[in-house]
Amino acid sequence: MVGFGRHCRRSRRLAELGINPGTEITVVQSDPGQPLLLRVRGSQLAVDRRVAHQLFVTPLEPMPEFLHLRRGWRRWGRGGGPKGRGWRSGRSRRWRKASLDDVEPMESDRNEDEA
Amino acid sequence: MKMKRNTDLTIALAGNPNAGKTTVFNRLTGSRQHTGNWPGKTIERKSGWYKHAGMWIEVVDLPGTYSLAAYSEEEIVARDFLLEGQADVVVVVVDASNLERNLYLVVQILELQLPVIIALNMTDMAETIGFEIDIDDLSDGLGDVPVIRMVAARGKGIEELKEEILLYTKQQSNEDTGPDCMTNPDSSPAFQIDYGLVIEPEIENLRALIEERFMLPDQIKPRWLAVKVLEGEVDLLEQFLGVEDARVVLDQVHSIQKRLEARVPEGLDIAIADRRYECVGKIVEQSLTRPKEPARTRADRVDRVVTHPWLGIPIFMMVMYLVFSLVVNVSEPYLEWIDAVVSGPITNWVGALLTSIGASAWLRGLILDGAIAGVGGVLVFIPGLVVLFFFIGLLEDSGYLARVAFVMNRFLSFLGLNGKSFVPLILGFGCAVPGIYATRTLESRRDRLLTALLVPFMSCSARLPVYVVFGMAFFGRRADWIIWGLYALGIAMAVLLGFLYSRTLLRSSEETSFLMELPSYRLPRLSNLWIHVSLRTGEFLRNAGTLILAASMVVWLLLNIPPKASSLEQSVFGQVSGFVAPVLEPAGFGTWEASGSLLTGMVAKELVIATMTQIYLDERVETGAESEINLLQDLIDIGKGFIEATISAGERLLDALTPGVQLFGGEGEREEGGTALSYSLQSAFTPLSALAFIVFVSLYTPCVATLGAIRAEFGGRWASFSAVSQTGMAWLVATLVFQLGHLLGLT
Repeated sequence: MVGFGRHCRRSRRLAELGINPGTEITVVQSDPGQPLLLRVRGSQLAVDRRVAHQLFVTPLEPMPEFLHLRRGWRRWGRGGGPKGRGWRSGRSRRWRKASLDDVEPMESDRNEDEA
Repeated sequence: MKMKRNTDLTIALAGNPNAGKTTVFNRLTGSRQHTGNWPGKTIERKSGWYKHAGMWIEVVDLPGTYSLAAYSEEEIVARDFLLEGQADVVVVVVDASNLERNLYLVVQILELQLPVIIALNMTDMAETIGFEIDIDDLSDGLGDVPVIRMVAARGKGIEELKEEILLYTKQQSNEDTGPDCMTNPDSSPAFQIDYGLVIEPEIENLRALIEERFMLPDQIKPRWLAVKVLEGEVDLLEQFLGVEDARVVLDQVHSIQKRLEARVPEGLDIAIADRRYECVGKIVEQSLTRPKEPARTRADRVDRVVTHPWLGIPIFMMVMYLVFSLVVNVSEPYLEWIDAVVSGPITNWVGALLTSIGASAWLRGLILDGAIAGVGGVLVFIPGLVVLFFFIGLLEDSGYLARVAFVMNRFLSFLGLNGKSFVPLILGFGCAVPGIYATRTLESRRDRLLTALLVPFMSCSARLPVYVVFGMAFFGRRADWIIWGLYALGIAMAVLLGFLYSRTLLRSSEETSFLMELPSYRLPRLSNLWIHVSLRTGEFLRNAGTLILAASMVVWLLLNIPPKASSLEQSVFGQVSGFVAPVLEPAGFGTWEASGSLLTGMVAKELVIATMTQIYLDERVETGAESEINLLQDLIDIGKGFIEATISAGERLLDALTPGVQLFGGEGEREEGGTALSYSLQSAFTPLSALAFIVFVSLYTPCVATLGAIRAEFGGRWASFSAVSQTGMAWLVATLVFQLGHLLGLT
């Protein structure tokens, strides 16, 4: 996890729940229209997309996971935002990183298959 | 409830939500209290007592919190209790399977320089996921804090904890009286977190300023206050320093924040939380060996299904349907049994007793027709309620409810609410009062208010009796569906109104965000469920014994004044109800009987049935013919009836569990069901007007207790708003049902 967006009103709460810069976050589940399910420091947190959008991360997993970045980089080039909603251009460019809700979930099932 | 004892010691129980704090509390005090699996369920300050080695020890159960920051009211309650220094020892309950996050709170309490004992709970679960915790290292890392392993749900470690608490106080009293040991609290190496090169000097500055210029209460350490204030909790300043002094410090804080802006870009609050976690991380590294791969795959797989975007809601609907059909199916046979017992043997016995002491006809009427009939009419629902409370407890304790909140977030955000509001709503199915108090877990006042206005639309357990009686009387085999439909109607109305309110009255100024922990699944323990069920049922019984009893007798009196009235309609009660009745005419039940029951139902929904029992089953003559009392025969009949009811309930249970398969082909059997009341109702209502009536009951004004809760939380204006708007809504919908049905040619 890299940082909070400037418009994140919940940053302190998140920090207290264990999401602070430098923390590893696993996206357990990310289904359209649903909040994200994250695993942080051993506990599961449900976070809705509005909040997740304000969390900036760098993918840690090796290349395959990295490629699961859905839209982040591509759309960046076009100047649009992920899903084009709740996005104001330039708001978080300084991070040059993907927002958390662009990261594909790392399903445990998939890991097992690869292993 | 008990007399206040001399307390030798007060301990506070603190901990994260879901750490098992309430279980520890129950185990320590043996007091009856509910443990849920919902983050932040315990809101009121609850205290209990236990005696250990001749000392009375008071235990205060603090609300579960993640930190000592002031976000919700619960956290403020917990923080302030600790700050006031009322506790001699703070026992922090820590979920061993979630050590890191839990220790964050521990560290904060240690920073307060309070005496702490750590109850390392759920060590069994930690072992299952492969955690190995070295408690000596843990204790060292936290500055020699006693750590006790326990599995509170099974009572393991509770005795050790009591011993440790005792030991601790002995140590302390030794220190106090020891002649050569001039202990100075500052000399002991206090637990302190190093906030790093950048922040630390500023903390020191601020601490010096606070220490020099202001007098703080003993238990508040200036350094702690300095850290807190830098974190942004400026409300503490006013609390301890007074407004003017606070301003001096505040100016200083602002200048510090400016100075550090460039060096701590993420903000001081986050940086401080970060440093704390770093400290926790170090301690965890020392004391915890965890497996490389997190072993939660099974729970994850369950989660995949129950939180699936499309499957999640149907699954929940199915669960709820199952629960309610179990409630209905189990309650019916017992309902008939209790009804038979109350109207048969018990009435006879009491009647005989009254005759033997030479009671007047008037007193007999009051007790037999008023008290017994009224209360008995309500008591018959106990079995169904036990089942309902059992399942609500099960959903809560297992952790499933949090998943439903997760799934429902999408729909609730449509109402401008978030998934968290779902839990108060679901509790509303049991009783609206706890539902309304549960809204305190929500962060914004607007969310809380909107949720509280919607909670009464969830059909509470007191309305269920009305549905069951009418369902049995008019809809026979389809009763299940009708009842299910009424619940659905309540939900639909809540959605509709939520949508309306959130766009008109309660437009949100800021969008709410959903942030919630999903606790790990837990096998609910029967003992906990039992506490839950007995608490709620006890409340219902107490209600029946006081409010319902009194109200039933008042209704009886009103029904019999003036005493020479030729019919009930001529009584005061009949007159008043008759006055209201025309208003209900368009909805199809404009009789004084119906409106009278509804009027009493405003006090408590149980009274609808209690009143009907009195009105419709009025047997005012029947003074002389006293049936012979045969105690033994009566008791045998009661026992036989109970066994029959149990068998029948068992059969229906199996039927309900295997939808579509009628194992005990009870078609005809069911039609027969019904209490004496059901039969009288059949002549007073048509199926259509009965339907309109129960629709009205399902929606109309919350009971007095609920309105009281709304008033306490949000003020009388909102309470009356709730009462008026719901009654209006109920009238509208009931009229609609009746008139539409009429047009369609139904009767």
